[in-house]
Amino acid sequence: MNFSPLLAEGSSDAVENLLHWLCGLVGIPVQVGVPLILILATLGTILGACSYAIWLERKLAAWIQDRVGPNRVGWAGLLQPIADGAKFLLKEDIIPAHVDKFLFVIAPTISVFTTMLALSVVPLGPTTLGEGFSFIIAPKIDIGIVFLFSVTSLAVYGIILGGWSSNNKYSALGGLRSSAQVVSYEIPLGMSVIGIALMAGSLNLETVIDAQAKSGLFGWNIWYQPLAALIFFLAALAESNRLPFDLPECEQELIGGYHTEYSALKFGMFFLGEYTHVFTVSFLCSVLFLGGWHFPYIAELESVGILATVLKIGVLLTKVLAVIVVIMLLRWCLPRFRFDQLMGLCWKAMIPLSLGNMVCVMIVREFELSWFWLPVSSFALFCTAGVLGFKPAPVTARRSRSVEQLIAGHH
Amino acid sequence: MQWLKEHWLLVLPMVLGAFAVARLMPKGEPRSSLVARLVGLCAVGIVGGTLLQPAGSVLNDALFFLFSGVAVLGAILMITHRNPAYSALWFAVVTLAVSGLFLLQSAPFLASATVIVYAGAIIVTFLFVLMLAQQAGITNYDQNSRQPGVATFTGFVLLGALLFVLVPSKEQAAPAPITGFVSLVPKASQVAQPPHQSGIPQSTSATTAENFGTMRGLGRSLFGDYLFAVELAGTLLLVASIGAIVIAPKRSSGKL
Repeated sequence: MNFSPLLAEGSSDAVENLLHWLCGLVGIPVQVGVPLILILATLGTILGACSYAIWLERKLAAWIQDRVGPNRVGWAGLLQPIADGAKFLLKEDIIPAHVDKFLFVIAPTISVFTTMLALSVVPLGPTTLGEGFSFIIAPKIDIGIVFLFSVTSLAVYGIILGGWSSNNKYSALGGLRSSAQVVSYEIPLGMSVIGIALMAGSLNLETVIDAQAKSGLFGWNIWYQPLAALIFFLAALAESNRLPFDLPECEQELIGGYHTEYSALKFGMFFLGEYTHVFTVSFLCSVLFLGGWHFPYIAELESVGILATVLKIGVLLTKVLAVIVVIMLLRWCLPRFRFDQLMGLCWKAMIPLSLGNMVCVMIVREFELSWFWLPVSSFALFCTAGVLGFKPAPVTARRSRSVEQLIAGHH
Repeated sequence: MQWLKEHWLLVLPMVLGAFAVARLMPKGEPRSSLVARLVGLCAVGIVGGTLLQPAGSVLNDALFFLFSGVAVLGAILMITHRNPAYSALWFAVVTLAVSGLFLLQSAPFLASATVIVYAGAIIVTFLFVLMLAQQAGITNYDQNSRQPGVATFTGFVLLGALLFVLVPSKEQAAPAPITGFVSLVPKASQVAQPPHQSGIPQSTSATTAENFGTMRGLGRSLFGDYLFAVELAGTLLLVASIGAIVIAPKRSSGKL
């Protein structure tokens, strides 16, 4: 066996050589083989990472609530995800008699398929614009993030069909809420990214990372677009139905929401879809706003070689993990929104703010002003929204409203 | 008769297709539709066989026939399905298949935008309404189509006219006039053609090789060559949305 490609000294393409060698070993063409290996690796990693993300979430929840958390299976409950997975597989898979069978079965698969497909344009490791290997399943897609939004906009079908086909009032209400929520939050989500696209001059995520890595730590987009980062993060949370936006599966009101009737592996697939969405969101936050694989002195644009590749993957994954932990901590820190508050937040606050932010970026780009004005304008917009939103109600009015509510609550 | 003899390959599938669609339309009690389905498949097969022009790579052709076949069958299932929710879903399938066709024509942005706008927003809104409306199960007006005969006839006359225009232009080996979106992202073979082919001004910036099919080229073309059309469409949408807000009933105190 010829191992020489693996040992190519100082080559930045050691990974590419390794993949080509693997393709040659199996005997499939490189154009097919490299994406195939990447897809298999990503799929395996995501499946494993999802189960351990659930373990992490349970441990974090336990820590916040001063409990112990899962600690029975394996050391510190580390084998708990495997036990959970086995339970999903082995449990009796019930399809209730009153459901629409075809849609009932296909809904969870749509949920998993769309969220997995979205990962195909997300950089999963170091990327290059020129020659060399990029850790991305479909590299050099010009419309990158538009493709991503188009695929994730289909994810709502899983929820809406799951809710409708269950033929259950709770499920239907969950599906209804979710469709309104997801369609609304797509707007600020897309508009907050337009600013980034304007700054990088491209919708391709590799170019976005490259533009940030070129200017060092203070080239990261979060310094210039803090408001866009906030809006993107919140809208993405709402898109992935995470707390405090998880109204589609609001337990107190809707039992399990759209997945009330689901059990065993089908329920597991909904779960998998949700966690994959969280991963995608975390990757996107890291790539769009936190510099992707770039970190000063550790992973720079110029650093090449196998060690640099490993470091870059490590940096990106650390950022992703940090975002995931923030999302999980938020879950136990904020109460759930009421539905009208949720819609009000989107349409009355986030959409105007993201529009204003977009206009600011356009002005800065058009008149070639200093980028220093971008954080200033973000801050100004944020403060303006706060001032406009603050309306101290007169004492009498407040009292009369509370009386009305009391009466309303009695029937 | 002479005309019919020349064009029977177009007329026959139209008649067969119209028969199949009219039979498949929901009317009264559910009935066996095996014959209608077979006839419909025959019609699609004949049209496909007539227009079949294998050119380019095998993969390209296979994808084209896959997407277009799914689009046609999905459209028929959309109008003939008894359950409105399934109809909406078949509409979504048609949209996805058409996006696939856009991708094959090197228009990735158009494909993605179609998926976002149609499949991701409009059909979701349809489903939203259907879920609210269908609390008591499928009703009478879902089970019966109003005038299946007339509707099918009109539809197939329109389809036949379109095919009749398209097919001879293919035989004369002259490229069909470039209209609409096709010219926004011209195919590589059309780039070199003189600009008098179409009434629309030939885009200058989008036709260069490095801008072909990219966001940059599309943006240059839309906001350069077609600026007034884009602005006009944008204004129309703005006016429509303002009108919708004005027409919408005012919320009286605290009530929807």
